[in-house]
Amino acid sequence: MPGRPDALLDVVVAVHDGARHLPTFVASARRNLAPGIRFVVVDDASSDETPQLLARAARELPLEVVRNPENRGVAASRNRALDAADARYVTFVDADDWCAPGHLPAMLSAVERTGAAMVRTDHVRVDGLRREAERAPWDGPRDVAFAAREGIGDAGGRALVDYPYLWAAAFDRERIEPRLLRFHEDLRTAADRPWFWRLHLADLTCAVVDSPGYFYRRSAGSGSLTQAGADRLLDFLLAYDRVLDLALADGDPAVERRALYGACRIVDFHVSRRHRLSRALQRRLLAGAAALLARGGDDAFEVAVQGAPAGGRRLLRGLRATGRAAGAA
Amino acid sequence: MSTLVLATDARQVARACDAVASGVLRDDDGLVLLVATLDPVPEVAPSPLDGDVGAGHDLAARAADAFARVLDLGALVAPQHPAAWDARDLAAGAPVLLDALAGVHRVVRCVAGPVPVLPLVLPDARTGLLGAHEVVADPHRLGAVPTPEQASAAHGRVLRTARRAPGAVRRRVERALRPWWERRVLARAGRDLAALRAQDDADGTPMLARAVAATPGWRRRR
Repeated sequence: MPGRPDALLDVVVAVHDGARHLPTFVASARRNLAPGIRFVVVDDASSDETPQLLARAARELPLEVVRNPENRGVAASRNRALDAADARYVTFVDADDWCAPGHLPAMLSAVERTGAAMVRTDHVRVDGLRREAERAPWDGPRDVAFAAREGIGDAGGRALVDYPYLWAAAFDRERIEPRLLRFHEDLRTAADRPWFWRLHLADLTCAVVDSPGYFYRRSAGSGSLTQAGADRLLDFLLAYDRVLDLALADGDPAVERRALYGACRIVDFHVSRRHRLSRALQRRLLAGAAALLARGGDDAFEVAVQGAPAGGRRLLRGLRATGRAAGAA
Repeated sequence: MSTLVLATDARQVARACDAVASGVLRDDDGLVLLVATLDPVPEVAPSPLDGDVGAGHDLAARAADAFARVLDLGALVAPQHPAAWDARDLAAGAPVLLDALAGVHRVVRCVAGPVPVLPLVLPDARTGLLGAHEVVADPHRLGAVPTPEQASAAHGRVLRTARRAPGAVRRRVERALRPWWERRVLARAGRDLAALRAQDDADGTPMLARAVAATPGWRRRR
């Protein structure tokens, strides 16, 4: 990672047509400056005023702007920003979100203080003026490094590995192999799921810390590249297929149960909200879910499905049986 | 028992400081200034105490001199928005706020309008409005009279409940039909996967990826 001698933390930001929210992002960046912190912003071929606003911001802030000549999606944009990053530590911010003053310096301080390869923190979900604080799912002591694998757990409940919020984390690039930080560019959404699974399965350390606050805007159409359109929504199935690849290759029964549990939960979630999809997409959702849930061992699946909401278990078992009958396993 | 003065922008802070200096605002038991930023993103908006109301005015210093205490509602209820948290959030945010506002018996607004969230924590406080030469007393208590926003919110709740009713009916019908629906969609998913399996898979794309991808033939079969 050759580069600026004073580089400490690079903040990766991917944006596409985010002009509406950039003033807030810039104001937030201004309140999060500290020596060694730089923003690496990838403009993913925006067609609105994003390029002009970023150029203006770059004149007054430590902000490196990289522009994609054509729209490549959030995963490819983040990979490009990671290529441009040269600091030891890296974190992520979505252009439509904002950080409380001092949040980024606090994350930098935490990752230096704990010596962990990655630190995870809480965040606040924002819906209009309503806010809901969401704690990182970790029952152990905070501010202490532990094996990242402990964040996987077994089937049931919440676990760090299924808390897929890049921006509520910071990473030490000297302790993490570069290939582990690459995103699957073919996944148009949910690329962060297998990404976190890979990190938690690797021989890394993790720490959960408090921070001044990251505010995650939930409203759709916000200009963030992580807001998924309906047609790319189904990529969550492909993302969980990669998760199952990792879990089954690992060979630990508890890891397999956790991955299948996550797959059951997310399939149940999307099936229960199928009405927002067209009939054609609903059909692809169910066929894809059958192929996904056909994977893994029967015992592990039975434990995993017990953790799913009671009303959806029969369908989940039916999808698995259908997928296995079709030879999708 | 102290008086709390609410200011939501720099001009109101300046007015409140002027009112204390001229004696319009006074309370032998102490005056508390509560600033609240009503910006949608108060975390990155300037505080009312940092606002510019003219050359040579250090508002924060003036306010500190004029008032016994200066509080920021946003900091007291963080991470909630200063104007948009309600009883559901009280369990988490109330202790700090209640401690800070203990002993307040009167709330004075600098301009007419709603007093965000304060009726929740100071229901018995009297209200007043800061005028040019006096504090205009309001005979009501904070918690007794719904502000226009509260009334609107209550009306909104009724409407939302009404809107939810058709959804509730739909959910009951869905629950009753669910076994039939499950059999139907599982059979269709089985047929779709069998069709995919029968298709030539020359490039080795896994069945899941082909199932998720848009397959023109499916649309024709619908």
